[in-house]
Amino acid sequence: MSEENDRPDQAPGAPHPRDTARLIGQEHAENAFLEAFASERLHHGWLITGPKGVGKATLAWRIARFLLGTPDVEADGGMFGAPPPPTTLDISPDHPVSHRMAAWAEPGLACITRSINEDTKKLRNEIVVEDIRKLGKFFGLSAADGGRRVVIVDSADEMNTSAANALLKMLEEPPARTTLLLVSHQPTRLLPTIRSRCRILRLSPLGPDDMAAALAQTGIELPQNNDHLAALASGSVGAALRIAALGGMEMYAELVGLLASMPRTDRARALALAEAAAQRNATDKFELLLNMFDILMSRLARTGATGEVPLPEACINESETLRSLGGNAQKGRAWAEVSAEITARTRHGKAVNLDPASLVLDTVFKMQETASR
Amino acid sequence: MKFSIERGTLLKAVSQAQSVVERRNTIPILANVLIEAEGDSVYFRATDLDIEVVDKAVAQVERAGATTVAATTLHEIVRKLPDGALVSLNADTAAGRLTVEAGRSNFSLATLPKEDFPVMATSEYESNFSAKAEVLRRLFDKSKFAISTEETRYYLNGVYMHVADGEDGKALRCVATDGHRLARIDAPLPAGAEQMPGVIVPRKTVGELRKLLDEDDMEIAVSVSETKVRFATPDITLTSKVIDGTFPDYTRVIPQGNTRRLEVDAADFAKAVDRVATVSSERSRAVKLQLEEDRLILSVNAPDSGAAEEELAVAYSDERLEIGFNAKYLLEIASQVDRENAVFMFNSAGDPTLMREGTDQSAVYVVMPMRV
Repeated sequence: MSEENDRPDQAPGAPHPRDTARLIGQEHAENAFLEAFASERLHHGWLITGPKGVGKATLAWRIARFLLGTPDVEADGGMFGAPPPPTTLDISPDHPVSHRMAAWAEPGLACITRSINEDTKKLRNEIVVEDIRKLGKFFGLSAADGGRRVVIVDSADEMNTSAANALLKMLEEPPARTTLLLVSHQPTRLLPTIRSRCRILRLSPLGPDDMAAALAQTGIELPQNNDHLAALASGSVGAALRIAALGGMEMYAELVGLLASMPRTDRARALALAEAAAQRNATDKFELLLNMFDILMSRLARTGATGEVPLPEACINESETLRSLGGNAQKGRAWAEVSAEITARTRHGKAVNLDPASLVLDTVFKMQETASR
Repeated sequence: MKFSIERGTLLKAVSQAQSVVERRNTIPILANVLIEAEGDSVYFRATDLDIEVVDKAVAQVERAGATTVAATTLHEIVRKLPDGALVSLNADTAAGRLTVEAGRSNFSLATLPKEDFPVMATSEYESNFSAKAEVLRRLFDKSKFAISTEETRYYLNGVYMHVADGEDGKALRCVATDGHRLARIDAPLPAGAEQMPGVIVPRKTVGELRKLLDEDDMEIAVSVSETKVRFATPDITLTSKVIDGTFPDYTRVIPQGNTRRLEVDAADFAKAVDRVATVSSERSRAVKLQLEEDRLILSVNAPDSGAAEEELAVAYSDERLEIGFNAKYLLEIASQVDRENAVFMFNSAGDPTLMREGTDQSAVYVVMPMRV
């Protein structure tokens, strides 16, 4: 569905989670869920946590498809006893539920994401209480065909406080046979009352093999230099796709290039970088650039702390730069400190709508300061 | 799929189907109508995931099949075609197009696969019975004004249809309330309805159902289960989810011991209320009723905008009483009276008031007073 590329629950450059049939490298989480399902005491609230882009939403959609597409077992197991409990979350793509879910027309599923503000016609920055209240109608009417109901909140981190409080009540006592799946990148920032009402499914970053398989599954054309991409994405398929789609590898190489000349700063280069980030409609790129700064500084810090350059390299000639600027433990500590400081500064800068270009320049100067110490 | 159909028949079927399609809907497949041609009939199916309408129309089917196409577009096209035209619809599955031809007009519409269309399962119903359109129309028309719009008490957002003990034995009863007023309408229990589970029919379904009930003598097949309700005429089937909640025990709030009896011509009363309410402030719209021997004085006193008073000749023989109501509520219940005089039964200025139509026990309305 090419026209819906702006969906808030879809990573740039990646297919929508509902279109990804297989989930790779998260077998333990799938098995934990299947076990709970087979025990016939399925908890109604599930919090799916893990870094961005490792397949949390894909898992949520898989669970939804599984719950809605698996027929009920009769209480007495019928004439031949109960069938063996399912061993996989796979539902055939030809199953009516799969078709309907792909068309957003599955009556048993409600997906809560950030919505469009009717007044400004723009996507909101957070999930507001009206979005959650829509669930009231979903829960208020009888379930389609008396079956299960599934709610996906993608992502729960985006709920503002009142939305979270509105969800709380529903999470506490949902109607019978309802499952709520909350996707969260930063579960610690959720209300503790929400966390405590959910069972947690933790997803971990993918290993190199799983990563390659998952990237292959997306069917998206990727640059040959997959090692660099893997190093930058650190086990997150979503991040890899985002980096590839927005030119993050070039961005990173540029940053390393800029750093290589430090403690002198190539002002023209820094300015070009800042201007690219400040372009209109380049919010995604700007976010990615900040992300790249983060990665670079954490790699510098690692170099200092371990005394070894992290491998594989994330761009050509990265190791030399890392070694020269983050060579010893003291420097490593300095980079770690400045990284935390910069994160705080940029968060504050974004909150007060500071010009992206100045934020980028500020970051570059901060790094120069550290490099010249 | 290929079939030809008379324009009038097609228009009727498509317009009924497209009326359930949600206007602000953002999901492409839900804006579509599913067209299924089979035997000598064509079925038009539309849904908003809560309500499903299936219209059956007679057509010359050349090739059986099914496809989905945008409901409003198809409706607009058919509406603009000349009366009496023969319309031919032909689905080209390979190209994903539906061609609509009538005379020299030719349209080609984009389609979506029929597999994506959510069809409500034809599950089993616990109760199946048949009732005259006239009876159902009375049950729902007279009760729907009291349906609540408040979302927190979602179980009041519909008409509670159930089997109850009426004045003359078992009755099919519809109740609606918003906490300020209540309507309770009974009809003789149709054969086969004894086992019907009580269901709360949502507001939108009540509105859609109304369109099926225009012909007095039409037999409507009603099917009810805990989670679904279905109303069917020979041509149209309306299936809807019901509200998943427990309707409150309304019998507690219907006053039994009200003794002060006021009888008044409902139309005159409604007009008088409407007139005096003109000066009342928008928000509260309180009207005061002063009852004396065969005399009713309606008055409104709004400090900001003015005052109004009107006197009506009524039948009243109990002690004097002053009581206030929301004008809108009074108007709405008074307009439910269609045959006889409105009979109000009061207790005191703070207690709920009951209204009936003459001596008819099958329709009872309750309205809460307001402090004035």
